[in-house]
Amino acid sequence: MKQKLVEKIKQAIYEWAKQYPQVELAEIDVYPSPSGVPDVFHVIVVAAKGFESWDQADREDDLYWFLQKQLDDSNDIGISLLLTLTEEESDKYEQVTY
Amino acid sequence: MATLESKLIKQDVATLHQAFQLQKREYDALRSAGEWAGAVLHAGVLLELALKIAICKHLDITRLPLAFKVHELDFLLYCSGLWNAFFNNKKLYRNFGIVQARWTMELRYQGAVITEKKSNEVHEALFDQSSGVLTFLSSFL
Repeated sequence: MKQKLVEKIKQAIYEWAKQYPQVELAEIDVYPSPSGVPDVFHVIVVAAKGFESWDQADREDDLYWFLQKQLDDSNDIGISLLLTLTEEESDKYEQVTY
Repeated sequence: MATLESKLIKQDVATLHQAFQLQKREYDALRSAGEWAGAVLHAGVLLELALKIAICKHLDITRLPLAFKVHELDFLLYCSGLWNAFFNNKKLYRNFGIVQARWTMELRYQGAVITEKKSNEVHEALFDQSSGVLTFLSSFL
């Protein structure tokens, strides 16, 4: 069930990215919140191109509300952490996280 | 046999309140000084403390069990009795996510550039009059 929800969120992110030809996705990481709270997910989207000239807060807001609409029929899904990163940002983030 | 005492966090709710007030003063000072990264770090701690105080109130206890010695905001919100109130208010839940994302970045991405704009976004997410996370939580503290 969780995996289905993960795939659903990923698919919605691909749909979102299609709207912006300048965005070239490099990685999408969707995983259940480490807190264990049911049906709550963390989402990290990395782009090879297209994020560097788009304000982080603006692109995250855009993606967040897009996902809200796309996942409207899955009212119980929560996204409590959403990050959109350039590859450079992602590299630095991972160096500290993992 | 372990005593109840040994299963509880040392700080009681009054201490959490004091810590919250101290963190809030430091948060304000950091923002006044233009120390945006420090302000965002404090913002996350403020939210964590507020949620822990809300949990004490929700459970009607003065000291939290050791299980709450965590920094996971999702978990703390879930246990605060306010999960549905947040989850059913899209703007409030979004603001919660903004604080969590910026705090996580600041904690886990050393060298992250926290600009004034990003700090202001977090500030708005916390203190917006209609749907700020701490504005909402203030009536539960």
